[in-house]
Amino acid sequence: MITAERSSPDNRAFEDADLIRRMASGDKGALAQLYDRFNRPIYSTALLILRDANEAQDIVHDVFLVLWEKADRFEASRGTAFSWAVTLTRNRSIDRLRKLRRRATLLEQAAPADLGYEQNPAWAGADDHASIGDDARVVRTAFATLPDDQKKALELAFFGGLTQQQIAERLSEPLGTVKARIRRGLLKLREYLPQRL
Amino acid sequence: MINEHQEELAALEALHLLEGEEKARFDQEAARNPELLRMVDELRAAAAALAHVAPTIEPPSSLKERILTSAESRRQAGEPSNVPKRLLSFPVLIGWSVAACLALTTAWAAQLYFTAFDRNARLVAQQKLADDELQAARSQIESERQANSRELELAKQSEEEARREVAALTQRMKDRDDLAQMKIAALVSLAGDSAQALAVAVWDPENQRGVLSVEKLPAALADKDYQLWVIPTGAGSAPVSAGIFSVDPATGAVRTAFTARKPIQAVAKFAISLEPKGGSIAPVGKIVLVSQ
Repeated sequence: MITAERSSPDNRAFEDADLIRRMASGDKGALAQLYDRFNRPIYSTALLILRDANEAQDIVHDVFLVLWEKADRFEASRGTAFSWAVTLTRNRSIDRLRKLRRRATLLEQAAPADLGYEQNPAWAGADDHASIGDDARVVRTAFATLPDDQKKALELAFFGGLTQQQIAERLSEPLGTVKARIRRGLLKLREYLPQRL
Repeated sequence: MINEHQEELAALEALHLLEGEEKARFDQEAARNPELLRMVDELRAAAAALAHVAPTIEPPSSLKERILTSAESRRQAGEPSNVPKRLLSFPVLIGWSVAACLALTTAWAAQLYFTAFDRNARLVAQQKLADDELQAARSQIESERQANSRELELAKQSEEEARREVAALTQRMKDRDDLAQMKIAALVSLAGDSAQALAVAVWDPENQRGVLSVEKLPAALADKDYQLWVIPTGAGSAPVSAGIFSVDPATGAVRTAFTARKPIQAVAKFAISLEPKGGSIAPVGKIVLVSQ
């Protein structure tokens, strides 16, 4: 039974990989434990990208089912289970977001003006201190050390669902500058973070 | 050694920001360069950590049960059956035996053939002649390949352009499909007092969202509100409220996004009524605009 809430990043990555291995052999309890460990960052990421609680829940549901069904294909040498789960979440959220944006554009064209889809009320009360895990604290501390322009570029790149060109347009900066900021920001983040976070 | 440009491409790849030709070139390079591939993995892990930067929100407790239930049903559906492996039938075994004998006979005949070949000088000479011809043919093919390299490059460019056109066309077809799914309706006045008023409602059934655009609708009195209703298809379907709204007193115009209070399978009509301040659960006021 894994109870390593306060274990080191290396240990957590090892424990996550062990859960994935157990999932591959059909252990539903392992899936439940992995859900308990990953659900908040995964759901928060999907929600920040999609800004819609129902859509975000659908994405989290699909991601955990993919982890469950493809657990036997997990390669610990290529990255952590957390990294795999986040990548799946982000990619699926962005695909969904782009589809929603395309439809919203069509809706916009069909009845001209701003759609005004409201911000999600779920943001209220977010970041209750007790709900933030150790990993989140480490990442946020590292992220806070980056220059603002690099932070902004990384946020748009990760959560925005935008292309390189769209990020450059959003920031009113040349494409080359945006690429350089993303490179510098991500390299610094890699340096600051524990290796197996 | 990884240079700055490769680092930049690796960072963009880690964030899935490489597309088209740029991505294809990078993938080829990464396939040949394990160090670059390792860097992408590391940067992908750093990018994944950004998930912790999102404001932490707890998903609803029901989500876990929903996932576990789905996982259980999927696993049951995907379990391999316990049907024993089929044994080979006697006729099939005979067939395989004949094939094996034939293979052995062929091998034996081939052995005889090559022995005879080695002893026959005339055949050796013919073989040399054939080799020379083959070499000449190879040289000719190589020279043709070089001569055609430019054409190949142009063909690749044309293929890339065609691929882009196909992608653009596919996108346009998707847009057309999505647009075809939307319900677009004009609402007109039933009573003479709002004869000039006009409204257009657009409804996206997949996302259960719509946009209402109104013009020249007289402002409601202080104790009244305009309320939009979505009337689902099906005999006797009750109107579903899509919210209240007010218009600009000067122009009588408003534009607003709306959602229905209940999921709507298919929309038959839209209607706008004048309700008591704050709106009603079911329409009780006068219907001012309705779609055909």
